[in-house]
Amino acid sequence: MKNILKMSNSFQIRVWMGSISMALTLLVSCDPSISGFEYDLPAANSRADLTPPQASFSASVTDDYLTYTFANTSTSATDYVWDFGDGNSSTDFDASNTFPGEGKYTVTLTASDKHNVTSTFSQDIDIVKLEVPQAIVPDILNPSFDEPGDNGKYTTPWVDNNLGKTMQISTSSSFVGGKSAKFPNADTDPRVGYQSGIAVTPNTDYIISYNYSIETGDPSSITVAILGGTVIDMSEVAGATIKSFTGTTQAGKTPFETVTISFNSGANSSISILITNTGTATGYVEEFTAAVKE
Amino acid sequence: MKHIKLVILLLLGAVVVSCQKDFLEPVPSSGITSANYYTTADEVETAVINMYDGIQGVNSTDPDDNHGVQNEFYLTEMRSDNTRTKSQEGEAAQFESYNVAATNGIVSNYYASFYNVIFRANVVLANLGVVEDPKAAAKFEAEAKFVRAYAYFNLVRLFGDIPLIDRVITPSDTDVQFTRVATSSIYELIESDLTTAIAGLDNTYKTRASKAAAQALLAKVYLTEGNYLPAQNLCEDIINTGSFGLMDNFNDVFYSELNKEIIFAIGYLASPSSDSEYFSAEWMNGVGRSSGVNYVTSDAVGALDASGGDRTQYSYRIDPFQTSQNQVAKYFPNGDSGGADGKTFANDPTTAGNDWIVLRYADVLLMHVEAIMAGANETSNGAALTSFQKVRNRAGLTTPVTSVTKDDLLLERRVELAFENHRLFDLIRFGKAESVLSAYSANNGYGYTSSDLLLPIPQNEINISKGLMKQNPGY
Repeated sequence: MKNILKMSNSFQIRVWMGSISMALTLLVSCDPSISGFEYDLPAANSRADLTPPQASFSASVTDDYLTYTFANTSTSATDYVWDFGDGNSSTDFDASNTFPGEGKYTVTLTASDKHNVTSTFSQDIDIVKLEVPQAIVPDILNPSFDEPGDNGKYTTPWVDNNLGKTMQISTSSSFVGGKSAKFPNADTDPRVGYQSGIAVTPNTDYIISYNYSIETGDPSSITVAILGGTVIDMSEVAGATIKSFTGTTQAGKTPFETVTISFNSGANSSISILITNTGTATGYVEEFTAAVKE
Repeated sequence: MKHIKLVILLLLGAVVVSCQKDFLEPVPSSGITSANYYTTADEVETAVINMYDGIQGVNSTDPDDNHGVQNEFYLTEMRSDNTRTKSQEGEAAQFESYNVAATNGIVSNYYASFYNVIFRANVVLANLGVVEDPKAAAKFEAEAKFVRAYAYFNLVRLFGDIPLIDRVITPSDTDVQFTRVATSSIYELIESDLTTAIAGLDNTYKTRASKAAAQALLAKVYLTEGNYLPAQNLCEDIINTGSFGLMDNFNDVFYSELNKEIIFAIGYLASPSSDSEYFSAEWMNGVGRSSGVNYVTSDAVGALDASGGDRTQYSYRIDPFQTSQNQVAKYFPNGDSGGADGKTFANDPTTAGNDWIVLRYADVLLMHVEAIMAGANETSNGAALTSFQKVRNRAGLTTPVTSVTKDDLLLERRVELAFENHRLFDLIRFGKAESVLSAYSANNGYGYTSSDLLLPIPQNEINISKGLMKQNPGY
């Protein structure tokens, strides 16, 4: 009996607690601030859009110089209108356009969201047809040894004392202009001619030609080497040589022989020319010319 | 008595000697911290090895472990037209459909892994002071700077503007951690690091930094920036060493490790399993954690069939278990192709030992062509043709080539270096990503837009930056 009473007591307590919580629930659901706002006007209690659309894009040219692609980098937008400034337009996300010709076009992107908040961004596109860059024609200074330099010396700018004693100038043997570079007995008086910093376009085929003569006598030679970049010591010459030619025709002072060296400039934006000789007979070098190989 | 005096004197001496400072204040031998650990060159070398361990990543199923370069294929190859998931499921499929969420766990894992690699490199650089031999110190510095540049080059190409961290920082240095700096500043650091690396390294290693690896990486950096002449010089330096060459058989490039074609690879070993990799198994049919990822697209199959030559058979195969699908044939787990059904392996495929090739000689030869082409649409330069022909000859395509167009070169790179995480970067560098990927996306019903060329900065970084970090457009 005692136990049954206890049970009924606890049952009563549970019923009480249940009804209290039901009453609470009723109270909560009657709160006008929760059920009421569905009748409010949209403007009331609404918050400002903290992330309005922001239009932006970047343009890049394609292989065809008239066609550009436009990468859309806008934020917080859903709809896009492109105006390419040439009468064309688009509503794609990313866009591409082929312009009618050279000129300046203002491309405008209008980005908007579903609140009809818009943002615009414009960029001017300058369309120019790029000419294929012409290869640099090498400019060899004082190519015939007939121009006096700043100090009146006809060896300018063929001088580099680190590589050796500078060649002489002959006035008695010449192909053109009255003077030529002269290389006396190489065994007793070795000399060099060196011109550096001759600008070239990389990876381009070139032709350099020159004339030489060697007096009769013991076997002798004149070597002209085309070097990539510059050298500061004779030990670097072998590694830097792109192409060289060693002339051995010994027909005397005056009959000059013309030599043509064809080479590719490779990974060099400048070249150097180095002239050396061997043997006891005097040699002469004259009139360098340079051209881009067609 | 005399003797006792002597004994006392000796004892006294012993007491005096033992009462030095380090007896009373001994350096704790069990409490090693990063602040007191580095005291000798050998200990700094452990930090050097630790960098490569970071790139290697942890082979585990825990997404919170840094998986290093093992996840790279998701972010690169599966975002190109080369590969996709087998069953278009899960966050892995976000990459192929150009629908990557800022919360993608694979993206944040890669980001965290490579910043961790940068941290490890910075630790080496911060502790060079204890290395007494200046030559050894210079070498460690060069190695650390190579690794740092490698990590930054990957990150800057994937994420765009990123935080520049060039020293060991602490959690309180929030400004540095969350300030995105312009890509040009990142490239400045990469170039200066690689220049130091080239000066300080030789060609001793293939799975550690080497001079040729730094040269090849810098050449690629220069090509990315359109700085062609120095890139050409670097490629020619590598070609002229004569230390590298193409393997006669294309298959041997991948299954005869450390061969003459390898310039830089991340080393893995099947045993111990802590040095192993799981990506090989993921590329098989339901062998790894996924049902199969990095499966070959029909687009890539078409390109390989038409232009691969001898390389095609060694690049992909029909999945023996599911013959409508195609799998990558480079990097079979431990070289085991998985038996008749393609999924039965002699050894555990999820702990494979295949080295991951980062730079190889064929890549350098094709970069040489790219450098000479110098942004033009075509070249018939002799040196360029020689390099191009070498790569094609090995593939059995021996008909002499008389001129190479930009598209020819891009295609040759695609079939030569397929599934080696080059394709996406090649498309972007060649200025072809927009046209190629938008067409590919349209054909397959994917959602490519131009903003997909950069990945999102991981959302957890944005969150903990407390407003300092802004997301990339489109995410």
